[in-house]
Amino acid sequence: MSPVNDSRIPDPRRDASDELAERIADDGLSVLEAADLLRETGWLGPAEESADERAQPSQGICIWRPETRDGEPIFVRPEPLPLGDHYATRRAIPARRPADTIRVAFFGESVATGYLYAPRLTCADVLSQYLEGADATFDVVDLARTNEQLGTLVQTVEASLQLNPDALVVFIGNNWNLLETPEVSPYRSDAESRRLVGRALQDGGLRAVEEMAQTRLRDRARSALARLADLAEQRPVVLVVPEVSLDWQSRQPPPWLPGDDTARWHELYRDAITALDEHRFEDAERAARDMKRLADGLGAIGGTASRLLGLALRGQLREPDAARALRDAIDQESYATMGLLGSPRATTNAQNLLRDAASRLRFELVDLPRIFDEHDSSEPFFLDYCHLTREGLRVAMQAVAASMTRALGLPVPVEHPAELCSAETEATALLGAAVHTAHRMTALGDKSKIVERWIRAAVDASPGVVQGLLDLVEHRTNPSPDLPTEVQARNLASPYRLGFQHGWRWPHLDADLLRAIRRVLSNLPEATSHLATFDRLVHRRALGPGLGQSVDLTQPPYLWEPIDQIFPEAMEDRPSRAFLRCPWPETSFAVITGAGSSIHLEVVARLPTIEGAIGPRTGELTIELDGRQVGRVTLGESWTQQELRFEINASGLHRLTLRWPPLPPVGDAAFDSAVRRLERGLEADLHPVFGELYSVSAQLS
Amino acid sequence: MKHDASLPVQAFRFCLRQGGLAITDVDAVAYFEEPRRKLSRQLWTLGFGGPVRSLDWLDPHGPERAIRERLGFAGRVLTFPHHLSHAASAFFASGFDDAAVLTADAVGEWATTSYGLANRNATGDALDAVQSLQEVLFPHSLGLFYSTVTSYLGFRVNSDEYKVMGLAAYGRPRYVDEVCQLLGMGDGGQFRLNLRHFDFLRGERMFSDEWVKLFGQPPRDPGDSIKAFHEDVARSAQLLLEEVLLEKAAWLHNQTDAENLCYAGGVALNSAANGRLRRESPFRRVFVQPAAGDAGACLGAAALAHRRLARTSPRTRQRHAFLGPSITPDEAESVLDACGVEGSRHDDEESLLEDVAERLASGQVVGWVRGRMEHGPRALGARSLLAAPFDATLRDRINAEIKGRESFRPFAPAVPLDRATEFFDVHPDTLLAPFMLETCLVTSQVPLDAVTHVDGTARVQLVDPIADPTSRRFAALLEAFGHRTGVPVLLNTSLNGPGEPIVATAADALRAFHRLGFDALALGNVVVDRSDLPDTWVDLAQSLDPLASRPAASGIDHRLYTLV
Repeated sequence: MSPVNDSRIPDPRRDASDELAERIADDGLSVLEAADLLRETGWLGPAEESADERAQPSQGICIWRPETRDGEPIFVRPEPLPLGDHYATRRAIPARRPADTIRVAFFGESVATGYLYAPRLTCADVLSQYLEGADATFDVVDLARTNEQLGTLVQTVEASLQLNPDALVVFIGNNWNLLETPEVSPYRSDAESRRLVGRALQDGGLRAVEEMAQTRLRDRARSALARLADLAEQRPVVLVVPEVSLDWQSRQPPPWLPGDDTARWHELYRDAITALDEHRFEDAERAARDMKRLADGLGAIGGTASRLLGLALRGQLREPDAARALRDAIDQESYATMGLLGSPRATTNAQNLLRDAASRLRFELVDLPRIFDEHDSSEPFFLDYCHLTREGLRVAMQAVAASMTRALGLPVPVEHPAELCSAETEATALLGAAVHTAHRMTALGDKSKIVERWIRAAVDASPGVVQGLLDLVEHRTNPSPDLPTEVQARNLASPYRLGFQHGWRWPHLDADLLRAIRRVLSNLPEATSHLATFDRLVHRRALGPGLGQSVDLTQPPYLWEPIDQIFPEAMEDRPSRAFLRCPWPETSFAVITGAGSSIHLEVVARLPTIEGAIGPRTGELTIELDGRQVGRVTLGESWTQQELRFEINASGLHRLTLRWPPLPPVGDAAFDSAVRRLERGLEADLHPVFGELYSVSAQLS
Repeated sequence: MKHDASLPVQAFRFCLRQGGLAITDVDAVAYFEEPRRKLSRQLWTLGFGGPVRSLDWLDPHGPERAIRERLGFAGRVLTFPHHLSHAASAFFASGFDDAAVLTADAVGEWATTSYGLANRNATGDALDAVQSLQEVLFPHSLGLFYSTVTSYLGFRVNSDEYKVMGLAAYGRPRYVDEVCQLLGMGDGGQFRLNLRHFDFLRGERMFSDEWVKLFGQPPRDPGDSIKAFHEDVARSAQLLLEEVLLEKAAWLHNQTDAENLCYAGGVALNSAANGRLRRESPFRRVFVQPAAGDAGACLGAAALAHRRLARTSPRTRQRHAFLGPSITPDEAESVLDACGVEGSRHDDEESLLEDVAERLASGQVVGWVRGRMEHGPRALGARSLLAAPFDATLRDRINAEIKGRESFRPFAPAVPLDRATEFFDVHPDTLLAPFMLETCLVTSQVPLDAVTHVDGTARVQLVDPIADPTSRRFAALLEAFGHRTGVPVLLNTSLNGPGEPIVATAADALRAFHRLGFDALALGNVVVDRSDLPDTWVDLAQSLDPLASRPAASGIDHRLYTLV
């Protein structure tokens, strides 16, 4: 019997659809090309402008929903989550302003929430404390929230008018990166955005993409700030220009550079790091300047070279030049999400947009870069890339209080609050700085000393935080970090209460954090007891014997640098891959063992095919343990499974490093290939991938 | 995977790990659909002027590119037609040497229903082993017919069809004349939808104004109460579906003269229709692959690829569905330890079974989580929520307070095979009941109100530890409960909340325990009572559980069926 399709509708359109489908498939048309074809042939109407997806206006204010209590309108937020959330914890805000009270509505991003201090200390709290010294009673309503963006900011400001505020404070600018212009990213999931980026790259290279992003940001920021001015009407608006840390490091690899320049860039990078390490600052400067020359003309994708230059100049005590180079690095790293995840920080461009808006729209300006620069203090202002220390909060909010009272025609308060927060809160925030540095800083060189410094500062601030350190270690080393653990419950009842901001849910061991904690514990009076506890906890993640006990080091707990991945793959909510792609010449993993262990390692790896390379790629992968070579395996473009054994004499945490073979000198072809794919709406990487790992299985042999 | 269009990266890695394989060991990846044929149907549908929400489907190379670039697989990628994959999934898992094959769903590429003949020992390629005899093509579709009824009755399309089946038992077939106008029978295996009553090709909803006129009632809004009219429409539609399937099965039998029928596709999850097929069709034996919907089509594609590459066919019958990730007792204890949840540790199995059976006999609802997870939509004793079968108030409590379901929805009983006929009118040799895939009459002298549907039927699960040793522990629990109560029958439903996937890991189970409010959780060798959860843990769980803060599903509309 032969197949019969007798319900087939006699419809010439069916033949046409068959034919068209064949053509789309045979010609290998991308989604965009197929859509163009359908439009040309009348199958599809013209492309429609995307609908305005702004949220519908709501009666509430951010997460505060309207209610009536005792006949009075009031806005109430849900119960704060035990591990914290992105909003201020004030449960109820009466719509009616208290009598004889000046109400200030406070808006902003994570810095404005007092990130790492919140909820126990926020910017709004500090501002309130300063305003207590003024000749009036103030009610500061904290509407700041982490991840605030311009669109939602305007909505919140508009909704906040229901509270009848007398003045507004707006503290924004750190999130003005690809968070505000996500369509200008090669990693967007929609084909149209990819084509947008691909065409810009084709027309003007990376510089054109950067300019497109900046133009769009400028237009959106100006529009949002103008709307904000309209909404404020006659109310004073204090606009805070954020300052950021010049010291935070965000190491970014370059995209494909012409010819052999990518490999050359990585050589220079290694030279510069070595020179910095050996205090040969002139050599480091030379290498950094050579790196910058390699990236010349490619737009702002040169942050790492600028940072190296800044560090080299600082080493030569040329501080003004160093500061300029480090500021350049921040500006250039703002488009880091072209490759790897960056850190949100206000760029010079963002700061100038805010200054310009303040001038045009008659806002009161609190210019933190200038204020911090002029402030005489030995204490740091930053916990990480942009979040403020207690001193930073104090100086910033003192300036806001002064500006606010001046704008309201009141005398400027001169009294300082006695203590902004308890020693326990301070220690917890400093521990948060350590966690952020370990997890989010992609350092140029070893960052463990920076992590250790933050931990020591936390212990100095309040010695009791040692229990918080051990709590953190216990939770990170438990088998299900996404479940509430006994130690979390205990910690929440302690004065060193850690929250989401401290990485409670991150599934990574964060090896630099563990190492730094151990070093700090070893110098404390009760070191023996603390170290015994620490070692017992960490060894829960130690390798065991036999196949059933093998761990795959490519999985999140063991990645030495969790965010050192091509951008979308470091994000939980993006499409994932079944294998790990390595964007640097070396990739490291954390391995925990007992003493005198013999390790069996099974590596399944390959070298990705690179457009333009002559012949299939082959090369040697070198494997090192704590800097000692323990094996070499030959790789090609197909997955190969290789095994090796080696001994580990010391117990504890080890660093296993895979060093990939060099890239072929085909940067132009590889980059052009990526651009062509983007123009067709397909996914593409502008950055080279040195190697790919399906698994690195380790067990005791 | 239903309701998840993303590439199953974790499932791919799990399967290799479970098989002790590396990606270097894989000869081919099989895909269950032919993208360019599907594209043809999607392009054809465009001509009706329906809304175009996305163009991502315009990419017939998308699946292969995802396999290469996201799974990292560089070898052979074999694609097989959607309905052939369904057919193979049923046939190669059936253990039959030869069989007639019937598939029915909403739509694959063009086919919506297929009839075929399969022979394990056929020489030649995969396509020689499972031959297609005839197909019914889109838009004429039993699945879309039933989905349109689903939508009209205020439920979610491509999701809530089983609710219509449950609702049907309450109704009377008053609208048979009307539903017969929706679907006309053709010659042989054919049938046709009367398209003027359907709008899924053009509009924003499944049914047309003509449909509404035909029934004389507006569509039910999801929040509205369910009236006799809705029950009667459901009953009439269910009846028509069953009659069409019986007629097509008779036709297929006539064409093939086969003794065995293998049946798959989303419609094959309709257990009421399956029961009638098994009892009333001319086939001696009927086998339905337990993951009969699209989630199980991958098995068929894999079997076809195996057949093509190795020239041999899988031979053994699938006797259980415990193919998913495992939870060992050690893992369970380790998670409980970390969470500070004590519970009662049981060193021997008998003690554990006694504890759980005692709780069930006293009216508790117990989560039962152990071993490898089920593949497919049914919990069969590895990720289950269990209760005593006697009291309807317990059913109502589970519906309302634990699973957030409509009050009309029934629960299934599980019973040891050798005791089944004491309580149910079920054929002991049925190949469907081990997977909860057919309904039968409840004949128990003891009232089993919690598991007896309003029409006196139940979707029974037969548990046979001899044929399927993986169910030994669950069978022992049924026996232990039987020793206490005289009735070795338990209410068995999946351990998940409304709209959630079934729990997979020990952590999932603990979170569900916190969230869903059942009385005890048997996890590995530990039984945790609700009072064992630390107070602080309860607060924290809400903070950490991504499902706890998810807003409840609301506002079911009559949107277009997902055709692309």
